[in-house]
Amino acid sequence: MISIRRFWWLLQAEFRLTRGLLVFHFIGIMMPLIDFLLLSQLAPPVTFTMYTATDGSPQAARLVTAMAALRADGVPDGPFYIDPQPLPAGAQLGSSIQDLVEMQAQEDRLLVTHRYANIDSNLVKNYRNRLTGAALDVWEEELGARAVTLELEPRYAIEPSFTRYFTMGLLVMAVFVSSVFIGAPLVAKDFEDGTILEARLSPVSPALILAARLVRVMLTSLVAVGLAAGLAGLYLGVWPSDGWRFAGLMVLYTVITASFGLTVGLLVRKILPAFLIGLVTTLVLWLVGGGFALPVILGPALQVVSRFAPTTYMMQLLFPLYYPGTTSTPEALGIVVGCAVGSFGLLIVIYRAVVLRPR
Amino acid sequence: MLRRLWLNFRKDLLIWMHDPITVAGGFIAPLAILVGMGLMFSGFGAVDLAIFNEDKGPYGAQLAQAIWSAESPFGGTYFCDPGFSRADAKDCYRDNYFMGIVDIPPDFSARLEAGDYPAVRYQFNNYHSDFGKNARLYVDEGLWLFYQHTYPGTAPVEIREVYPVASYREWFPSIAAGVLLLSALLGGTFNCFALLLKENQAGTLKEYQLAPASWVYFLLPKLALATLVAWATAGVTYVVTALWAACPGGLPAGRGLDAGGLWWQALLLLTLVTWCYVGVAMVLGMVVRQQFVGGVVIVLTGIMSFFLSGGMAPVENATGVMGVVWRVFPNGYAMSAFRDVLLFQRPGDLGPALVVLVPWAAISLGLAMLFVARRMRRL
Repeated sequence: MISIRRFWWLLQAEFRLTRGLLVFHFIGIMMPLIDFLLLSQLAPPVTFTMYTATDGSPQAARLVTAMAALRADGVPDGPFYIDPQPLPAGAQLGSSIQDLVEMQAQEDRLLVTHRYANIDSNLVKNYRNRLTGAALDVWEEELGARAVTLELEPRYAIEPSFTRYFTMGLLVMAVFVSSVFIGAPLVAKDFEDGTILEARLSPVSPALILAARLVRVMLTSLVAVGLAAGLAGLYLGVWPSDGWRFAGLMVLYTVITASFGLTVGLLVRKILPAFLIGLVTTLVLWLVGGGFALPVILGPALQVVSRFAPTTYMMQLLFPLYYPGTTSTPEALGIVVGCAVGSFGLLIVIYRAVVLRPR
Repeated sequence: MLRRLWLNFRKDLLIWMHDPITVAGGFIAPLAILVGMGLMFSGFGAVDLAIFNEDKGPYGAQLAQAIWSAESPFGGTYFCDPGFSRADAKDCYRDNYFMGIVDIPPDFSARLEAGDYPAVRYQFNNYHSDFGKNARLYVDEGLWLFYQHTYPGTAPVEIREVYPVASYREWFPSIAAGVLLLSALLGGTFNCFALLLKENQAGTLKEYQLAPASWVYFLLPKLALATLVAWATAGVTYVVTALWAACPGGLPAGRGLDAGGLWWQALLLLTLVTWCYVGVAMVLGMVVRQQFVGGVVIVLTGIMSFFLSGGMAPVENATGVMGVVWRVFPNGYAMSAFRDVLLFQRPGDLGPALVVLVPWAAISLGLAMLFVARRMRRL
């Protein structure tokens, strides 16, 4: 009973420390939200406007029709990929017109000159792929029974916009950022201010002190991820399909991230370096773990690295909650539980070594 | 006058040399981004696609080869062959490490030759619409190649492409150009902030406040040193990028960052962008009491500006909120000309960049210096 009361006092004391690290709390909680709002605007559109200049021939009209018909096959109501528009009178390739498809009928074929205005190779790739897709449809129509049929089997029955996946990435980031940005400086500040001496001299059990700090960081991270989930739900209408499962997973994940944040603080013991190391680690683990895009786009070496990042498995566990009809593997849950136990154990070992047995 | 400036500069330099770790503020975050982005995007486009060819004739192998060899404007291919067994490929596909699996049936060639609707099965990952689109259209590029080889001279459409540049660069050098600018502005601003903070904490600021000399002698050397540190941090990032490009499996020769004879344009742009932010650092150095607060503000502002103002890809034609947001940061106005110089060694369109950046830097520095001068007059 006394222990519970002491724990409660310690927890209150931990939350009072917020005043000394307001900047980190603000950044830790708000940065993922701001990033999400802004980066969700960067999501590439599926339908590209492509300007055409035709000679009025039937061949050109046929290609324009194929361009307008090119869409995401294999899923119900798949979006169209091209919105072909005639080049406005007097308009030229330049700042507002990024590509131009000029069509000129020849004797036996249609000569298409695809002009680009930008140096962004990703955009050029997108324009090129779309035109090839439309031209291929025209060719296959001519080939008839000789054309190769692609029997498409998309993995997901619905094909959501990028923001649905990005929501999962945001949630994982919100937990990690808040835990590391708040947890690491919280501990490092103790060393910089010398208040760590109080922990060393205190008659209260070190386990209680550490538990209070861990719970405090976990609670803050849960608030951060709750805000992020709420923002994604209200802004995009993307909610997890099972709230309880979602909450359970997040509690489990905060054990990993809060332990990691506190461990960084214990090892670095300086606020700014602890923050920088936390920032770098968070970014790397988020990218490698598939927070921005699936590991499929990573090179072979990084794919191996991603298998060691807890973020990877957390993303896998979130899939069924945001992609109805999908399942996650029991191995993923086992690995996340293992990481939680392991990171908590590591925190205890380092806490004992650094705080209780200083050199 | 010059002697007094020099003496102050030398003093600032000594302070900096006593604690050069402040320069780390300009290195750590940009290098982390550089390495992260390099690992993610230096092989961009070549995603794993498993093709299991059971065809008894020649066309199955030709189709697989065509799909794997279709080239992207990034310079490489869209797909690569992971060389996995069917069981491993299925596991990788399940765990999101493969884009898809193509199964070519045993009768593919026979049906193709007979004109009897040859078909292949294509399982692909469509976890969001952009990825699903890539999965479909990349394979279309491969099919296009296959038809050209299998049915030569029958294409009803012939496509020619006209580019504004001789060849396109991979995504990584384009991002590296943004990181170079980021490292310069972080190095410069962090250094200026740290120097002012140290003067504040050590009490030497009081001596300047009491001294009869103008505040110009106090601030100009700091601006000069910030500029030099900005060049140095950008230089280190440049070298790291060059080393990355030279690594086995890095970038093809001549595809990294190279300003050639136009180095002065690159230097001018990164100096102006740095000066736009140094004003903010001066104010922070006078106001903030704790190094970590200013450090965090500077690093996060820099990173946000990188992502939101064209560090990853050009944003000049962005629409919606992004079409407005990128204009809030000076980086966005410099990026286009900066990339022209560093990626293509062609003179950047400096005019529009200078029209914005010169007044921006002048106003930022002017206001900051006035602020510092007022604070220094107030004992």
